[in-house]
Amino acid sequence: MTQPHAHELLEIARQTLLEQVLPALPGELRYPTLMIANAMAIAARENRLDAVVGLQEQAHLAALNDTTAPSLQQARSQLARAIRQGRHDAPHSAHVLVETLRHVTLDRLAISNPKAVR
Amino acid sequence: MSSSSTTCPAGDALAVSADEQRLVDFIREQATATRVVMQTRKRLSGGAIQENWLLELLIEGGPWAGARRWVLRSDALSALPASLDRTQEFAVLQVAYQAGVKVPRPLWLCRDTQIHGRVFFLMEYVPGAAAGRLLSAGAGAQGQARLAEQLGANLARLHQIRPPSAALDFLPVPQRSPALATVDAYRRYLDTLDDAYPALEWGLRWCELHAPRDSRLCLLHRDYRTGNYLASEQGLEAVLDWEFTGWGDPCEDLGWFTAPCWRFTRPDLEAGGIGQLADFLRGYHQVSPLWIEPHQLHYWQVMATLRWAVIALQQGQRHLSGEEPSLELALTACLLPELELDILNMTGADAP
Repeated sequence: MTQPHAHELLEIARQTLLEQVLPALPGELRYPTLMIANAMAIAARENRLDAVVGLQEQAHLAALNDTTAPSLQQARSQLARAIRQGRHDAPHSAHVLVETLRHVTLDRLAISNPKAVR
Repeated sequence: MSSSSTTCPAGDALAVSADEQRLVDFIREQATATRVVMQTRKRLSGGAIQENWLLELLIEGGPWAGARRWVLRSDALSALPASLDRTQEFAVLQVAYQAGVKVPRPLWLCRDTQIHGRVFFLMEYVPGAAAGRLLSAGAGAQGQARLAEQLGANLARLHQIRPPSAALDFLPVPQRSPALATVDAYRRYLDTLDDAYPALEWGLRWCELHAPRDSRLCLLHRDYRTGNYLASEQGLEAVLDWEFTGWGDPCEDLGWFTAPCWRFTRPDLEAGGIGQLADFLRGYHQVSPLWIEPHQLHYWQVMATLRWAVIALQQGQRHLSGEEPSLELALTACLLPELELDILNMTGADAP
């Protein structure tokens, strides 16, 4: 491997921004610069993790839906409809649903904000 | 191109000063002053939706004579669907001020868009800190008991205002359970999106199944949280940002104030990340006879988290649609998984 991946480019760009550019910027640009660094970190993690996280989510949702939808988007729609229709109201079903969605959400948090896992 | 680039700077300078002159004239008339000098005019930070300008004025003659610091608040370029316009917000501010709620004193509304380009109103400037991170980081081990109590009492004062109110006739009065009406509204919104959100759907279903059977109606702030009030060493100075006000269940405001998503650096301090719940509720009960049960508060904390999730999606849309390209709005949409996790934690098997 000789070419950096997108996430590797973003990571080094972010590091350069924070270590070399930020100290030279006036105070009022600190907040926007930290927002830029945060956006780059999220984009880098998404680039690194999104494919795996998406496949795992699809597997989780297929178990809840009792069927494999053609796409993740359709699996989410199908589950959302079933929830709204009350098909996960029973205590056991609700328990499995919430635990499964917790797994899915924790995986998404590993991309959007790993520090927020609480 | 070249001719406009040579004439523009001078034209802009004239336009700016003419705009400022119209504003100064407006203030002079309203304040029945003989002369008004605008010493500074500076954009205040905060407010993803509205524009706020601090005006430092020298006023001669009339009841407002002297050095004055006033805030001009105008509509921004794009707004969230649920927000009030400046005319309505001004009416709300007047009603709240008259009810003894701590707010910046409202002065005058200007509907004439010739003056500032958009509708705006003026209110008194109130000093103090608003930033949620700063306030929660400085709250101390036990939180700020006094501030929490004042915030509770102040909210109860607002909740004494009940419908109908002639001054607020533009606010719709819910015809049935405010909770169920809210669930319906959020579902209708989610149905307009390309993607589905199972965790939010579950939260809405839970709120539908656990909806309170009866609720009384009162005036709500609907964004009463740390970050939207000014505090000083003396405690609460003023509550800001009245653009989401409406009639609803008083517990909605209490749930919003105490929800996990509005505690900033102090998740352990249930009262807005700045104080303890007991202090906040003690202040509330000093003014209001309404007794708040823990399960009511929990229910409205779930609803609060759902609402913030819906707003985060809307903020993301404002950016993605091109209506208002903004990194801040884009990052707000990235909060969604945190809010989904809160909802799941609050509605799972371990939930009360």
